[in-house]
Amino acid sequence: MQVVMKKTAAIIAFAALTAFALPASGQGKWGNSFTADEARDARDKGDVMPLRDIFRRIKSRFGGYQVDANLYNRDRGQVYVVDWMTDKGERIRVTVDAKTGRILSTS
Amino acid sequence: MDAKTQFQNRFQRLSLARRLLIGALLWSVLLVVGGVVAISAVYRAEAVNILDDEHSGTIQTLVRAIRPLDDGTGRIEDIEDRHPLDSRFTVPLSGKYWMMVAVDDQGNPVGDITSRSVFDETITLPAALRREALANPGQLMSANGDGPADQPARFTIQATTYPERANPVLLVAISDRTLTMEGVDRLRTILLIAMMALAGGTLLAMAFGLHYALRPLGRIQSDITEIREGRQAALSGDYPAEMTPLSEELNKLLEHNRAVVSRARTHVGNLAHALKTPLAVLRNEANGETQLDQVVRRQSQTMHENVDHYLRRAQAAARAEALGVRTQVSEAAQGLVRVMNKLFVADGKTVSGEIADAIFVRTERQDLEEIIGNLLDNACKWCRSEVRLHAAPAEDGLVSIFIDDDGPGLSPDERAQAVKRGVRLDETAPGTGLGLSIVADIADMNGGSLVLDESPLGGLRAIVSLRRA
Repeated sequence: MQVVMKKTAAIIAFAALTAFALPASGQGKWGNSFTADEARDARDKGDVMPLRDIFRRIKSRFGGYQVDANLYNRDRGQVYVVDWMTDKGERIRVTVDAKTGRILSTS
Repeated sequence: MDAKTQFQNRFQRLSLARRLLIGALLWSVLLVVGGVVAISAVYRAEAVNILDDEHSGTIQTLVRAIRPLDDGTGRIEDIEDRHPLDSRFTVPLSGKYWMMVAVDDQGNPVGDITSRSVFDETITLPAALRREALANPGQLMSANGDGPADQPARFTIQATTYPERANPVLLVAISDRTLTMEGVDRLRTILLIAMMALAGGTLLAMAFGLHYALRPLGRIQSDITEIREGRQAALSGDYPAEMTPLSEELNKLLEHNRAVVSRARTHVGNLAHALKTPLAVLRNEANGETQLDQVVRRQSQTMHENVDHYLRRAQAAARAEALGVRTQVSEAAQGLVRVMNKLFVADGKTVSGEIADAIFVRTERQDLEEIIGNLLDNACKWCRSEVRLHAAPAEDGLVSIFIDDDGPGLSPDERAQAVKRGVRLDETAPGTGLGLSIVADIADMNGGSLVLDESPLGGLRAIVSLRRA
């Protein structure tokens, strides 16, 4: 059932709907980051806010645009870590509580 | 029908400048709206073409990144190394997305692999586009739809098939259209401003030009007024080339008019001389006391009076038709007042006249003298001791000349009768009874009137109104 190949990001199934989207490259530089599929599952279950809402909050505060974003499991729940380019050209890293959307820290 | 006629009438009375301006305005609006719509449509199509070209490249890359598994399950995997290279496909919700979508026998999606940029969003392919792509395998099909995070998006889909798999796989490239749409909006705004400025400027220049071009018409009108009021003999101004023929024709018409009047006057004079002598002969010859003599005397006298009356009328009419006449009232009146004072000084009657030098009337001097002479004569015959003459500007561009006496005056009925032609109110005082009626006639032919009223001196007041010049 499980196909493991070295350079595979994801596999889609034709017949079995239950068997696609296997976690393959879940190991980011900072450990337990969510894949896009896991993030979608978490959002669908209501565990985390949609990323678009997080982006909207950051944008309304800093302007600019996203550079990258990841969802992590932390001790007290999930957090989004968003790399952001502000209006003034500053690359910042914003940590957001994924459940409430509250900005926890900015650096 | 009525409304239509009314509209037509109104249109026919519409000024030339307005016609031109309304036409230009309609055309400008059409051009601005049409131009803006057309140019932004072309720009939008071009921008969409660029997106579609980009999508075509992405899909070609996706073909290389797909690997069907040869294990009979029909499953497909993607090769990460061969993903499209643009880093925007990895930034969440960046606006650039790709998808590989497996479909079942009915063409419904059963599973997908998406670029990382889709992240936690779910993308639903536009159903119509999906069916279209499946119906045309190998063809790139594009349409607009709803992208992730509510972005308006451009979708391009190609249906591909593989020997390892029964059903096709849809390769999809998606781009956020927000920037394109903003570009179109910006272009439309700029275009609208630029074209409205252009149209507005053109209209303004046109309005100014028209105003300037039509000014000679106003000048020619005021010149014609000057001629009518006798301050000018002909159109003498320098007019633009287009109007020179008109002014020349008008001058010719004026010249012709003067010639006609002068000819008529000559004829009238000739006729007067031709008739007067035979009538005088008739009257002189019939000096006996037979009934025939009496009849001839009476009738020839009547004929003489009538000829006189109608000749004067004709002369006055001919003169009244003439354009450019201007007579100073005070100058004409002075001589008459002097004559009347001389004639009636023996009876202890005085005539006084007070008329400002600035009062001019549009009546030949001869006619004016006839009018004032007749009225003064009447007034002097009937007054006890005093006749007064004065003049004042009246309404509607008229001048009123007042002749007052301190005689017995007339009752309202008698006043009404007096201005009827040929009525003699007295049978004792000398005169033909035509005096007042010829005055009324001449005044009438000169665009004026004669009114009789009570005088503050106690007698009759005659008011002659004539056009001011």
